Amino acid sequence: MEITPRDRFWMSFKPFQLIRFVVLNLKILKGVNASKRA
Amino acid sequence: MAGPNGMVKVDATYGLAYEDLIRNPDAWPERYQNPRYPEIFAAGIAFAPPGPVSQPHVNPNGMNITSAPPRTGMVSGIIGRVVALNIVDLVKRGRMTHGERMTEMYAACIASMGDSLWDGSAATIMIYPVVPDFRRYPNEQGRDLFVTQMEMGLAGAWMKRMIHSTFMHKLQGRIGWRLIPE
Repeated sequence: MEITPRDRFWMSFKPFQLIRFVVLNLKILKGVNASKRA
Repeated sequence: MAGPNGMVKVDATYGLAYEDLIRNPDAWPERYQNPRYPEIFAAGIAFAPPGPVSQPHVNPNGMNITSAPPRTGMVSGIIGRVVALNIVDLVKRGRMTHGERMTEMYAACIASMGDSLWDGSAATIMIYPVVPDFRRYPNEQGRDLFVTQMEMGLAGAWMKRMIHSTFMHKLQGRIGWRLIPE
């Protein structure tokens, strides 16, 4: 998969990346809570 | 004790065809304990997985292409925790109470492509469960599609920084270290 100039813009656009950072943390929390961890 | 490839056999169901393995998530080991020598445990890359995690293929030259399950990084940390807690259990109570199959396990991987917090980048890969479980997730991947994803960007560099700091906090056993995932 090629990284387009548009992709590069979003990959370094800080307000968008701040939202992605929050979303990635939520995904980690959901994944860890769903896993057994017993 | 070990298979022909040198990996230690544990409490998995070995010898199943791929089609049977994907229908039976319980074939994956739970306690990583050798059935013949109960004092032997095999964590991380030491244990013999019961099979591949996706459909095996053969290329036009006849070479087998099979995807082995990932057993380093977060997965080895989780298995190490299960084994360590079970050894403590055996010493204190004489029975084991912990277990986690790779079909019940969450894992994340962050591949750094520049560590600057201003203009760095990293690929963030998350997967749950590590080995597909088509009984709980009856979709094409056999996984939770909200959690399972890969993306690249500056947020990944921030995640990498956060994981470095929290992991050192956990390794040093500081306040709340048990809450931080492996």
